[in-house]
Amino acid sequence: MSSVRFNKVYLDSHFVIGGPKEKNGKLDNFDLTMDDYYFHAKTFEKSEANMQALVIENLLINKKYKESDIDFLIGGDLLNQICATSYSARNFKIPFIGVYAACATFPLSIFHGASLIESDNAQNVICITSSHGLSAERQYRYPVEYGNTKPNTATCTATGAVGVILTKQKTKMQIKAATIGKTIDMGIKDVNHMGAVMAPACADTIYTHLQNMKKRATDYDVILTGDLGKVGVNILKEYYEKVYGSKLLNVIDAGSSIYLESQNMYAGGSGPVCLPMVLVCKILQNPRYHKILIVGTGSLHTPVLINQNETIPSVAHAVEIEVLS
Amino acid sequence: MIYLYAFLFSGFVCMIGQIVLDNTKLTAGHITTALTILGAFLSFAGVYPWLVEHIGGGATVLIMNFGHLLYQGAISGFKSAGLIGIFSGMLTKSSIAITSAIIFSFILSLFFNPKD
Amino acid sequence: MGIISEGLINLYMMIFGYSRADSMGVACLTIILVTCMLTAFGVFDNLVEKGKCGLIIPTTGFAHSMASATMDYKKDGFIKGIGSNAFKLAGSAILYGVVAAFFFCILGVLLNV
Repeated sequence: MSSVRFNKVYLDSHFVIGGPKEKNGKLDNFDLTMDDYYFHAKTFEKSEANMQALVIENLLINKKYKESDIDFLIGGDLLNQICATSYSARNFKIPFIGVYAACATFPLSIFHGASLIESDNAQNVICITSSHGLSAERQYRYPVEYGNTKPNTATCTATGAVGVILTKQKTKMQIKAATIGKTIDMGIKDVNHMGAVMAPACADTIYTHLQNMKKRATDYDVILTGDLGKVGVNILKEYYEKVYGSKLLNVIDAGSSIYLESQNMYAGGSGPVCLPMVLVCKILQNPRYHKILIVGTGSLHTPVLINQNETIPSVAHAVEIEVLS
Repeated sequence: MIYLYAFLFSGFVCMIGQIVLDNTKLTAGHITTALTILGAFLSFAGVYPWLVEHIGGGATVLIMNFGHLLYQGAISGFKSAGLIGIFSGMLTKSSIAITSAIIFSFILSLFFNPKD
Repeated sequence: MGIISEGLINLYMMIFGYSRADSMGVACLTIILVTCMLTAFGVFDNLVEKGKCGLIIPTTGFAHSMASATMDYKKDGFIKGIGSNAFKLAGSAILYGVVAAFFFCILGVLLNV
């Protein structure tokens, strides 16, 4: 079965860094923000690694933990060989598990952390992810200064880093379950339309989760999707209704919740950091959300195979969080 | 008058390019490459020199002109030195564009960083 | 779009002090220089968003792609960075331009002979 229930896993603390565009957008409650894309580093890739290292440092300091108190560091990002995460991890003597699920990396890392805690193999785990608009642009698309025009369905990679500590000690936020999605390929080749690429995988994972947990969509106060974008979230709702026969009314898309209209970010934000950023800055801050389902949506595309004329597969992972009162 | 023709012609070509960019999966790279080849073809067909004559800068500023210069360079090379002349002459007329682009890009890149 | 090209034409006519053939070359050079500088200042990509194809198709597009590529890969070193990536975007135009011109030239020669 693709869903796993957890009884002993709790979310302890979080730390979020936002980029220059994000801090001027719709979200508040960042722990730290960047004024520029370099963040005291020489290159964008190094700045992304620095952001992650800063998140981990702050998580440790805030809880007065030593590195030895953390059993595992689990994380990933969008860059080649998840280098931002690896190069941040080298600063810490914590056993490191690198994971990749594109923009679904965050729920995937929570799944692994929670599984380790539930099986009594860990006491505390740090889950971390990041993305950087310009390092992603360099890798997947064009040089940063190149004025490439994008269609309105395109999403722009968000900049930021978010880390959380999962623990066995009881706190107010419990990780109740997770569902690992299947990789779905609907035959789409358009890299500027990630919403369409990811929506079917998202729908499949939501449906599977609800079936396995014997719940309905309305049992949750909110379903937070990762980065479908304004266009993608409408595709999700239509697709879900057509294929599974019920309406998803309480869906909020993280990617669409970060930027103001005036910031001109086309269909919204994308990147692994969207989902945790909105989760921490908006959802967890709002006392009316108790039963939360986060669904990270990852498009598993690679420039190499796209150039070889392949289609884009995608995967979505879900995690159920309950804020206890 | 030549200003008007220049305006209309380059506007027309750019408009075609924009329509293609918006409605097909082709990227800017595809379009520029296609136009370069088209420029070489129009030069071969004898059309492009006429365009330069009558539309002046409107024809020389476009990337089609690059293809045109490549063809002209090759042909004049052939006329002066035979088959080898095609190879030795090809890049001569377009040298200004390529060399200046390389030199200016390089020098400026030493001093400036990408920002967005 | 057309407005941009007209501005470029004016520039060309302005340098008319030289002979016509030379002034075409100098105009080209000026356009490339201005484009590279605007790219370096980080301004050109905003202009492209507004001008779209109007700025990509002329020689400005070529110069802009080269300038942005060299700037971006500067941090990867002179050889591996700038050296390998400078022509990343412009390369296909040059490559296929030369190939096409070559074939047309052969064709032209055969047809005239």
